[in-house]
Amino acid sequence: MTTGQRIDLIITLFVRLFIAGVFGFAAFMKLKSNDATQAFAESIRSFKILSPIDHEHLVVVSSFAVPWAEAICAALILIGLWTRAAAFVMLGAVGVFIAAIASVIARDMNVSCGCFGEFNFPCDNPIGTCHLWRNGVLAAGCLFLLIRGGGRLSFDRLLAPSKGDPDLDPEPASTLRAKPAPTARPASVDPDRPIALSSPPTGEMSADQPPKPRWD
Amino acid sequence: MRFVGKVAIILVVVLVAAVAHSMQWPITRDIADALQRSQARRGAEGGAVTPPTPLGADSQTNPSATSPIEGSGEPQGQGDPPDVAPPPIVDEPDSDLPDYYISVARAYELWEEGMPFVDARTDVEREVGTIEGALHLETLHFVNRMEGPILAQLEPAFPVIVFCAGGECDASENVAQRLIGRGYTEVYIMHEGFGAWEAAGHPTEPVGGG
Repeated sequence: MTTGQRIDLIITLFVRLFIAGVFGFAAFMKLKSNDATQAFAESIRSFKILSPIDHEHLVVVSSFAVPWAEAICAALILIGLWTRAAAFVMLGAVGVFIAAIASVIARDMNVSCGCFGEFNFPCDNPIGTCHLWRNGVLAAGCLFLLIRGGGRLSFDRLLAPSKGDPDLDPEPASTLRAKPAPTARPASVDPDRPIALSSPPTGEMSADQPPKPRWD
Repeated sequence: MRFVGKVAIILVVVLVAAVAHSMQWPITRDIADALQRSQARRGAEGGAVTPPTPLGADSQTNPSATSPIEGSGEPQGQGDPPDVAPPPIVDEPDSDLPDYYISVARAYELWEEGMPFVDARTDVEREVGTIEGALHLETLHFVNRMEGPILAQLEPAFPVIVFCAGGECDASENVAQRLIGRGYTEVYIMHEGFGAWEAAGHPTEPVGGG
């Protein structure tokens, strides 16, 4: 293992532990009791994005779906299984959080976040630009994992059937080498036979045309 | 398995867990019921002056229910016969607000009668003072399971008036819903909040002074 690979391993592992720790803690603070979940539901209502009369069902589902998504994705990221997919889900969730917080700031509302239950570090209530920065850091971490994958110390690497699978290989997608275009003629084509410039009238396939797909 | 398939599986598992968990959540149903009652009351035609219905009371099962609050200060149970029921709380009707909302003027009358007040604001918000004799009970107390000693001072059969800062604050509504979930049937909200109470010159006290 080279020095660069060691650094890559350490950074990826650190980001995984950080993201998993933050989202795991957030999920625990929301799911530890009915009252904690209730408080999160009240936070969602206080954003006044969803109507408490017309969209109460969405508030209730969100009150449970958000912490469960955080818990499940945190567990997956922690062990490095399906890291990219879990990071993608969390990136979407954080994007929604950022949009909601920006909406609250734009409307100059005085509401509490409820992101980590009664725990407010490092941002005090009410919601402000500090919450945007905090979610920006989380989004950057999720984006990093989405691009880099789980790294060498992950179940993704352990279970990878072959190097080069874009979903399982922890190498970044940008470094994967594109397969070179086949230049050799098909073996069935006689190399001495002249290549037709257009399709022959008999319907015979020429050497420079790809075979038609079969749908059966 | 491809990336999209993994994302879809994660989302399905999250949704199943959320729905299964929410079905075991009694507080949600309390809130939903209260909101439905509130919506029904707001949707009803109200021409004449009607008494406000306390949050948590079931007007369908007890249509002639009136508030137990009376000049004597003696609360009446909901099982009292109608012919001896005390006069109802009469407040200025406002079709845009739920019936369990009461004005500062009416809240002051209830305060003079000795009805308990609950301050639902946070410690930071309470630094400006509070209503004299009000108990501090906010959402955080319920989350941390610290509400017991405070609820011990509130009799479920008595009316409770909850308030917060007023304006856009939802704290009083949230605490009121939790009180309903714990068996309090006569819950009112002073929706104009502490600011309006203080502006009206009604008695206040510094936090920690009593």
